[in-house]
Amino acid sequence: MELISFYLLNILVGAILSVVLGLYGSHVVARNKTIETILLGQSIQVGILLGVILGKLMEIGHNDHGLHLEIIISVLFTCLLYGTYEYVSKGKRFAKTPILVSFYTFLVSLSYLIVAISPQIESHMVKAFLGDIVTASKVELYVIFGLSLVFMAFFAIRQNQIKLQSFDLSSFGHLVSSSGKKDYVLFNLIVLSLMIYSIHVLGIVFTLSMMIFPITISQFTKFTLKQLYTFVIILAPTSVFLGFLLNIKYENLPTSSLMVISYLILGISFVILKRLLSRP
Amino acid sequence: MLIQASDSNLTTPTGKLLLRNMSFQIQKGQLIHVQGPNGVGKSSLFKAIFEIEGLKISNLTKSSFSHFFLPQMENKEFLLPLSLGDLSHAKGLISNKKKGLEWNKASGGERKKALIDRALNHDCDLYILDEPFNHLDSDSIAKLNESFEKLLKQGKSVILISHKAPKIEHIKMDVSKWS
Repeated sequence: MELISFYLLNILVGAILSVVLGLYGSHVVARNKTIETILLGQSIQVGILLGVILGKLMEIGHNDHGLHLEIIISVLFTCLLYGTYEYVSKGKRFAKTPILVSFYTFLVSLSYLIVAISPQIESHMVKAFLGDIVTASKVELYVIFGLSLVFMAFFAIRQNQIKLQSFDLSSFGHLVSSSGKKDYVLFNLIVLSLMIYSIHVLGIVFTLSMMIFPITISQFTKFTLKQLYTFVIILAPTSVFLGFLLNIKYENLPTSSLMVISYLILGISFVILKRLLSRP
Repeated sequence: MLIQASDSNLTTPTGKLLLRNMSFQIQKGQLIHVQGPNGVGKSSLFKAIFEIEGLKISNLTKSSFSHFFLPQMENKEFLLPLSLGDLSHAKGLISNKKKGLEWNKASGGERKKALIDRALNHDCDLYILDEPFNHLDSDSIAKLNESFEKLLKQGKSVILISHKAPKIEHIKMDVSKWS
């Protein structure tokens, strides 16, 4: 109980972040961008590694505020790499997947090359992969909490427009109306910021799982859109809390893995239970 | 004037020339029927005008206007749960009874009606509809022609890319002469 109250802010931030990732992630998946999130995740990881190296070279210590060198380099590197991918694959609709996988394998090779050259940053690579909310600084937690609230408000206000744009991008591959470009750009910027902060603190595995699981689970049961959002709002924080509790009991097990596995088990249990209850 | 092409060429992202020496004007309050055989480049012309799929068009002048471009329906499933009424709440081709129907369970005709309702209830200056008559029954086609008349009276412009001509007064644009 003492540990829970000590880490209350960490749990709260993990919970709200999991909800925001789930809401936005469902639309990212619906826009046929699932595989792109894996490329984004990997480029954010390499960006963080480059930021750490640059910080060491420039002798800039790791300070506690939310916007430090790793985040800045990560943003710049991700924008550069993703921009290059978009430019290279423009007009090659059917070759996008192999181009993307080529970029991905390049990034994986690059990250291992960086770690081989500077073995002291291996822990940063592991952190960017699995993450741990327990180790996040207070200021980082406040920044993520604030951003998550703003992003959630934007989602609540513009959900109709977001939904229609997801439909257009999935059905036609482009927007159909000239009036929604601002929303489209803001949606993409929010997803990028969310992913960068989430990967920095909670790792790629947690971030991608929270984004992709809701819509994956929803394919095995009947949901309306409101029910899907409710499912995310209830299940994601429950998994975060459950993962945290398990981590307190079994200290050696990684928090993010426990949260992700809890989410999957709870989601599958929900689907099975719903099917059993709907049987005549 | 909304759009003006002067001796323009249409090329693919790889540089292949699709249409050449095109000259035309699209003005406010016009209904334009774009016609031509399959594969001639009717849809590509308007995709290029609105910078979609990397298609390029030279010597094009566009004024500032809002538009809604409804492409041909590919009858794809959608991953999120969505009802036909989610696309448009307003009165139109889709009956109130059918508004609760799930997109993934609706027929081609019902999907098409919901898409057209959404397009025509969107407030903008120019509507571009690619094959809007496909999948529609004769009653719906008649209602659609009435909707076009209303839009034209409001000073809005409509471009129909279709093998079927509208039943009301319109301007013909034959794309095959530029291929």
